[in-house]
Amino acid sequence: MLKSRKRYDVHIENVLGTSLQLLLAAHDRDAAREAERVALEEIDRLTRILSSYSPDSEFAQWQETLESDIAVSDELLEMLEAAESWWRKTNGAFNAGASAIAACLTAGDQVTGVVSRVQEPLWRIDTSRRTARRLVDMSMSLDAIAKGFIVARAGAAVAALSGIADVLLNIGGDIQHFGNGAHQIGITDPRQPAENGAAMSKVRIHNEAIATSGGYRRGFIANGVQHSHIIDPRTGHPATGIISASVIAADCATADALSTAFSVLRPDESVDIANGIGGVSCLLLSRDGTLTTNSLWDHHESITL
Amino acid sequence: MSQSRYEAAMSRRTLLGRLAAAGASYIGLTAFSRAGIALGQGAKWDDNFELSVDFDIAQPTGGRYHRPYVAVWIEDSAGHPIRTLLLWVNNTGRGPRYIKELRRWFGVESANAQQIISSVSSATRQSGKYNVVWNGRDDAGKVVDQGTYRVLIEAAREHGSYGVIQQDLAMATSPKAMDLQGNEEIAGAHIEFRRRK
Repeated sequence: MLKSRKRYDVHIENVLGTSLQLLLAAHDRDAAREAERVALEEIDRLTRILSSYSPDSEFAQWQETLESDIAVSDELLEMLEAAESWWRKTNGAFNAGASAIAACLTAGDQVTGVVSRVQEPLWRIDTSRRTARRLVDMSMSLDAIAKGFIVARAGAAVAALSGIADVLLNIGGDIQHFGNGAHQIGITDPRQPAENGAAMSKVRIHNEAIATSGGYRRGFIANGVQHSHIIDPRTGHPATGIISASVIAADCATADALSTAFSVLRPDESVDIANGIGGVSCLLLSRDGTLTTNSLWDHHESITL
Repeated sequence: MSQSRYEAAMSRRTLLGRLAAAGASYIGLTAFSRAGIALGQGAKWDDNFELSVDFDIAQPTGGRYHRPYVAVWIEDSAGHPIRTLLLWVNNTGRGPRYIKELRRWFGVESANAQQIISSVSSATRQSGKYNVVWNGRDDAGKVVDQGTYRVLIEAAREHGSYGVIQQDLAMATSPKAMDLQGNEEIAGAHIEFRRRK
């Protein structure tokens, strides 16, 4: 990659249902335009594999199968492996079946049956044959990890371009950085989430990723009450204890998955998991206003540019 | 109005106009209505209240689109700029100029003048929908008087259209909300003088 060049800040709406920011140090305008094209192309390619919304995606097609070993793409295999791994490492707080529980809650149906079904492995992977066998006939979603994965991969694709010295890709608040220069990132305060609201924390990231989860911008209404869209898959209840969970990790898929899990775990459980994995920072805001961080987060916060 | 204050007001208003490509037409500049200026005169802004401004970026049918340049700011009854709430402008080349303006709202200017924020991590926001708030402080951080202020939302696009949404609103001690008609770049806006949550 080149030494720092001109800075380009590209903002595009309607990417994965939200907004995209591509902040570049690029050789020239043509290099910046090429970076934008490459990022969007990689986002589209991965969306065609991993989307839960498009019935044509590879993941959606795979969900049409049951109890059958299906050959899957490298990317889908990686996501299924990662999702299962985070399910185990977070003691069930991350669960690709949470979307099925949310669908029941939104419809006002009983969730107990679905909740018990998602406590077992949802699929079985054969890494040598590169197949995945769907075990439970229930709608699943990789959204809570796939967006971060797409941000990481699209960011890496841009970083590999010859005219680019530094790239920070942000899609809907999930950020991946590659390059020589560190960046200061503000964390939205859910109590005042306006564009010009004061950040509740500012951290430095450098060749790292950050993701934030919280129920303050999306949710659903059941029995006249507004609930978080984040469901605790262990109980079937919407998350209530944590209103914002941010995670810094080397890659955005990890940050995305853990920020979702940390939205339903107790702060002390999340800190233990983050410290146990290593290289993971977390900031957790509880409903009562308590802020919990681990020491690695404090380290990122203490460095100013 | 003194000449220099008048120029300050005009330069702010045309900020995006100068940045926009030639051929963009300037619309929406109207004489300020003097009605309601006396409201709550002398009393300082009540910190139990805030102004919230929601705006939707006009979405071309289907597909993706670049965000236009947008400025959101407040003027007093004489048309003087009081507070810039948001400024997204073209920042290619060295030193993105919008960051200099936005520093204030990240609380950077007062506390850590060196910290410049590259990006923001948050829960996922809906595409094209933005919200800014005003806490009754001017650009220097001083508390303003209660009274009628003008809210301006200006949007422009390189090689494209240009438009301003503006609305006077009495901001004293009674809540008030209004939907504002949009233009080619801003589909619509909603302003609300409300009690702080």
